[in-house]
Amino acid sequence: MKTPDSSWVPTVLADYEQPLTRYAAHITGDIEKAREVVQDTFLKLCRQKPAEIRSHLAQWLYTVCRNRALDVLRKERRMTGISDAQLEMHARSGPAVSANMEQEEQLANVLNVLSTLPANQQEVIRLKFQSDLSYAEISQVTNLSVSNVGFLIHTGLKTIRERVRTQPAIRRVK
Amino acid sequence: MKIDANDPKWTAYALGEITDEKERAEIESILEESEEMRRLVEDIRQTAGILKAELQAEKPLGLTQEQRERIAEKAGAGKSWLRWKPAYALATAAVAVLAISFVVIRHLNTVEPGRRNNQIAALMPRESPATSQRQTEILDEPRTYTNAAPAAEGKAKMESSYPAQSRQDTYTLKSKESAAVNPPAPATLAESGVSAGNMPADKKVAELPAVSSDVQDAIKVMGGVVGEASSGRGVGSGVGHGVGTGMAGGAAGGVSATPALSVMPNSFAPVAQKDGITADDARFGRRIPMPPPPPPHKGMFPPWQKPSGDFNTEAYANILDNPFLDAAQNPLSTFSIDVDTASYSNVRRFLDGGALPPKDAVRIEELINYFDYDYKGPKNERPFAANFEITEAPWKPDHRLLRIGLKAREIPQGKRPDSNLVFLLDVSGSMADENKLPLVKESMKLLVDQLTEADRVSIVVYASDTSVFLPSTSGDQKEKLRHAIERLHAGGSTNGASGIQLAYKTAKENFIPGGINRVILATDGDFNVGMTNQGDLTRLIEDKAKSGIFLSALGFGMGNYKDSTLELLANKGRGNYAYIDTLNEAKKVLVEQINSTLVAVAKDVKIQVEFNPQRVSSYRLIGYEDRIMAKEDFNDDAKQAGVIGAGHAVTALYEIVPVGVSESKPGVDPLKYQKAAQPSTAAHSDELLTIKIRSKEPEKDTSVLSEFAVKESKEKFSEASQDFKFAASVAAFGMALRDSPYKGSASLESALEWAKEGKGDDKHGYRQEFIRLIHRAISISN
Repeated sequence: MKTPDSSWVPTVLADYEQPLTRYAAHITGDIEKAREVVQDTFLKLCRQKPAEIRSHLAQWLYTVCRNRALDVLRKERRMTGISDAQLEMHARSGPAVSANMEQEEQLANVLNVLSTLPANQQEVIRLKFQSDLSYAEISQVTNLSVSNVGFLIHTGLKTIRERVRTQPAIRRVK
Repeated sequence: MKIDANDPKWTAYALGEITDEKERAEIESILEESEEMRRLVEDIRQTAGILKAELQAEKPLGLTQEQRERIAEKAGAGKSWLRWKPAYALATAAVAVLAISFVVIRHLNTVEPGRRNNQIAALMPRESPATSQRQTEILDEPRTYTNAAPAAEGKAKMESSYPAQSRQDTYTLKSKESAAVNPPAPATLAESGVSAGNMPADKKVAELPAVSSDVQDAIKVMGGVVGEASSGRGVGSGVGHGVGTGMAGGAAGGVSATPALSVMPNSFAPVAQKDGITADDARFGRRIPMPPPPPPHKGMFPPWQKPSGDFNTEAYANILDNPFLDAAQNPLSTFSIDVDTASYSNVRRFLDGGALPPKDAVRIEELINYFDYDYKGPKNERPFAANFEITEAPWKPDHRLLRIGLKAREIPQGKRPDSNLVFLLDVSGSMADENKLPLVKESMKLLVDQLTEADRVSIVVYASDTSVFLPSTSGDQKEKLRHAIERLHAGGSTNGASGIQLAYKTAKENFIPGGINRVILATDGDFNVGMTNQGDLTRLIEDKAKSGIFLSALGFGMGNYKDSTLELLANKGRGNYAYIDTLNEAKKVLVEQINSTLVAVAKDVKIQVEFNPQRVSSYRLIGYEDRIMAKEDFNDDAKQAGVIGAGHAVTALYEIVPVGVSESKPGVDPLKYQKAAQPSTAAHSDELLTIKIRSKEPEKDTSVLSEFAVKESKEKFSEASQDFKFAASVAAFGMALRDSPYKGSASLESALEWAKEGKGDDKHGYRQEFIRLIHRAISISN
């Protein structure tokens, strides 16, 4: 058979297009690049046999998307010569943050606190809470061990809890 | 033991990421001791909840249309599937379809009214003197047997001395001690044999009901079980959904004022609205303010084939499809009815999340019973009527498919008995998600809109502590009730059992004799702290049910949703069990079907089918795997069974292999010490089987029996009623999802075809939604 059955792609696209694009945008710091990364991810999906990846689809998609996004970044770095520090800044700035003045004023916003965390903590936290991946899946996607993922999320959440608590501006539940 | 609050395991536990049972148990025992750690875990969950809400409310980003088209091209699909928009759009589209179908569908589909109803399978009453006149009379008012005075001769049945197979093994000894009491006397059997003989043997198949027309009429309404059962509740017939629909508008209006994001701090609301989640979405949405992809990975990692770690902690009891049983060796099939519907909405949740449900989450009888069928209700004050239909099994045309349909009497608007409802709400940290407590609150408001001064509502909440949140309050104090509901919020860990005790105490204090006394448990079933010994819990619930306080369970949420626990609790509590995934579903359960949810018209409803081995080689009950009873339990009034609520339709399907159809069955060696049973006279009639139904009035302890014989028919599936086709479609859908070894040619595609044929009037649009779900399942599984 020339091409594997890719009739499942539409459903997968419907389910994952948005979370993947957000994830990629977070890594690349650029919406257009993120879109290309996600497009490439799905084009690659079209070449896969559903039976082989269905059981770990989310993991597969995020892994491919992440690798592709990092490729893009590396290539860009070679082209423009931006530094590692700048790269990390890229990784830190989620598209939603700068887009919203009101939110920026609200210093205690959890997202703002999140954006001050180290990039690796931000990434796993986003994978956990935005993309709803489990520790085990995040471990596969990021090549970190499960306990490492657990540690990063734990530490990140702790920082967020503490900083939000010290900010009277935010109203916490209960 | 030293407790290190900085250990990542606390976060892992709070997020449901502890995969090792032992470790989890250890953590939970520490939590039980330490208030401080409980607070920590709760704190983590709250932060996680806020973070999740904020992150998922971020501005949605997606591909450009051009990019989508490129992918489509590559995928080899036409552009047609581009109507699959990202999740939000999809959800909205589904809502639109649903909303439209409410209005339009009934005009589009004109069914032939009444015609099909006449085609109930040929039934012969197994009652005495076989003059057709008498039969009609008797059918109209079936003679009833009570266990107190069985009109039987205690005919020792051969089968009770056979070591029964499979599930009945354990009961064999007992059956030997007490000969089964089987009401129909041998003389009666002979009589019906005679009357059957009167039927023209070469009758054309199409004219199937080979009985005189007045008998047919009688059959239509036949089956009322309690002859003289006047419950004194002034119950008539009719009304039904008219009530629900009328109320629905008003209820919805009340809700729209309040977007369902209540757990989140106020400051978050604008964020959500920016993303276009309006109150309307929340009201009708398939997914309330759920984040765009409801954890898609979950189903792509179906729990049964997950690599190693269990990423979700949903619990489903293992189900093994009922096998085909040899009719000679197992002539009796006994089960309790089941009015639960939770499995359907749970399956829908999986499919809408882009995944096939785990096999064990698919309980076929609950899928079938999710839908209402146009069965004839009972006459007079009888609790329910029974209807039957039999045609070829569409997935295996050699086989026959028998549908048994029970329809409980309706309760007219305003005639609902006074009710004493105690809501038992889980407000632990695990309920903070948008589709849990906020949805519970919106659902409760829908219910409150239905109540009157005759109703009383209390709210008991449980988390770290248990308290009566709202003492019993009259149903006409709507502002007070709504205000109380609004103040509910989630926090703390869960100790399910003590909450249940307090709820029962409250229910008992406000007990209304002769009324509805019901604890309504709303939870994700995650009883994670404290006394959660399931045995103690179910015993407690069983005892309380005996004292007249029933328990219904409403399941919410996902991720750590404990389906098996909730089903068990509602089963023991003799209430129903529904899974609420959307406000629409809440409306179905608490508004449109409030009477069937709350008003029991008969309890301990058991069905026993005796197959005629001369006609039936083997048979299989489709679904009801966890409702199978020992054959002796049928006549044992101490054995509890399902409750049927007002207006409920309950359906059971049997697949029957007629004698002469070749099949490969394992067979057993001939017995050494006894001979095979000799067929009785009746066995030579053209009766396939006899259906016996036992039930009790809600407040009585003695059951009444009615029974009907079903005759051979040669009807084709294409000639079946629309309801029959639809039920068969749902069964096929379930078997396909379960990948049942007995599915024959049934597939999602064939289910789709039959569902379309059987859609009928569909006044609430539920069947249309089912068709949508099949499409969804097909596109996921391809």
